Amino acid sequence: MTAIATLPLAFSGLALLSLSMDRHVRQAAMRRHGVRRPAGWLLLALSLAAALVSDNWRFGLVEWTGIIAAAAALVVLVLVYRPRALLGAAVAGTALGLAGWAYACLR
Amino acid sequence: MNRSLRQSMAGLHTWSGLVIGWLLFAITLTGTAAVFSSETSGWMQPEVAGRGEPRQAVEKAVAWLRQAQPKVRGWFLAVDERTATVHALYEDRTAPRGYRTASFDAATDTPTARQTMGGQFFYRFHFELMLPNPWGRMLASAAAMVMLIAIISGIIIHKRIFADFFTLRPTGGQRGWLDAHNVFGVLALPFHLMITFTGIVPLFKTTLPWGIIANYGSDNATALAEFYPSLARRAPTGNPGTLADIGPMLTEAQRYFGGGRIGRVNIANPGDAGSVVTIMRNDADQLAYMAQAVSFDGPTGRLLGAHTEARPARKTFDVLYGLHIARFAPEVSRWLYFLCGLALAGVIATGLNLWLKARAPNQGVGHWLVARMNVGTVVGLPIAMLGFLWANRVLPAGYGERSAAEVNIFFWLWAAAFLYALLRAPQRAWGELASVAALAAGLLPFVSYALTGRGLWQAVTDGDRLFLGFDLVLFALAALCAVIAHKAFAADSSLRLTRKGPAAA
Repeated sequence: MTAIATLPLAFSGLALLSLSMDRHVRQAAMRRHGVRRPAGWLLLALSLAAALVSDNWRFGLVEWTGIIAAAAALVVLVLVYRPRALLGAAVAGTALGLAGWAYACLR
Repeated sequence: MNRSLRQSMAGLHTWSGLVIGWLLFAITLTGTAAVFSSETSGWMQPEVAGRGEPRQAVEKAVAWLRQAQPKVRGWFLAVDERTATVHALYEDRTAPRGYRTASFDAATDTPTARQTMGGQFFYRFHFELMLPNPWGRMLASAAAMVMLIAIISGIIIHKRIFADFFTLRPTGGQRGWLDAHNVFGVLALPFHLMITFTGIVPLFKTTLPWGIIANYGSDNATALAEFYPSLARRAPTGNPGTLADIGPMLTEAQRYFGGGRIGRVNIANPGDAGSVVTIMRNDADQLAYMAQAVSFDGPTGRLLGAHTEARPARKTFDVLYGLHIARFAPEVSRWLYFLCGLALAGVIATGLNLWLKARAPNQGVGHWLVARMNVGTVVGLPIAMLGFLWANRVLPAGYGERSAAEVNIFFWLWAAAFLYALLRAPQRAWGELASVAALAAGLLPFVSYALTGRGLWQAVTDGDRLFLGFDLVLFALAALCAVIAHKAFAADSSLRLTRKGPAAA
């Protein structure tokens, strides 16, 4: 259930972290921006928080370690096939993740 | 020695990985399949509809066992919440493995489902390789320990582990394979470390017995009683007795569990006046394995004892064990375990291929052997696993000793694929065997539907979700194998082009 929040947030966080690295910024044909690294870590932290405040923090924590693997795999795939879409995907992911968290809280 | 740490670790990583790579691939892939052992068992017993409440299935199972198996020393019921099925195990000296299982759902009065090991086969192969105790477990455990060495040495030698985190350059050359090996390994690194370590831990009685021997000597009975106080043992009285109604005992147990689910029901000496019913909480309710149990006097239903494991050392062990077998995992987590397991299989397969790529081809026996063993294992094993599922459908439901026959077919098919891989040029064998696997996976849902009447379409019309998931995964596997076959054939034809010139293509 919390995957609806943790996965998009982790994806966005990891996407921003990747775009704070020279190698991938070049792949995405973009310019560097200092805010991306702290923003990326913040989103990852939010993703972890969403996992820990869920019904069962133990299950949530275990699930989260798998979720970041899946999210990182998605970032790698986007970088291979559509690197220029990565920043947009990160923004969309943030919105989706926060919406998902709100939805999970209301249920 | 003047070698740097990195150089030594590189040598250790390469050779530890190579020597146990094939065995570890088998352990990893079957273990990954075992994540869904419930659904596999359900698929392999299509006669069981799996509807209704698991509790009713328990009562049906006990009712049947009372009149069909009254004299055996024990009935061991495992409740599978996911398929709402109860698998009852009882001793049978005439059976190849010394016991038989009967499967019940809420509507089963007499078990008619075909005899099969089901998903338990992948699970058992995974940790004991179908070898006699303790050799299989020791071998699997040793392989896991070497895997831990391979993972840690791999981390040490990975110079730019953070810079390379998201790097995947699918060029087809050695660089691309190394990227894939790294990506599969690093992205799911917490999982790989966790699953390897927690895989070694449960086999401690076999691999590190000296603590037990030092404290208990050869007094296994006391050791067992202190490890598992919930498995109350009482010697049979020798006098006949009738087992009380199981329903109230189930209710009382669930009350003790605070509304938790039933996981296992063990009935010792059911026909005796000293029978004991032990009810264990379902492993899906918490991280720890076998966390709570309640025992009842069989003939009267009187509470004998209840146990919630709280001792720190045992609890740590139970949580580590629980993390490995992942019965606690809700749906999303199960799929993550499955995907990460596939990633680990990918680490091993790409690693085995890298060993070849890093060395000039056609250089002696080592290269010849490794190239062929890679095909025989990485594609041969999936063919064998699919063959196991095919055997389940093709062998008639009433075929004698079909459970053992299915397992034999698995091994025969693997041997055949291995032989084919040994005799054929690896470049061609990859494409050919991967095509066989793709066909085997892709056709199975149709064959299954033709032979059982349950399939993808029933999922839409009847809400039969078990077959929906299973068939879709089979189609995904077929697609994956088809892609691998395609790439293998393309690589092979380009290789022949470069060797002999365009005229040869």
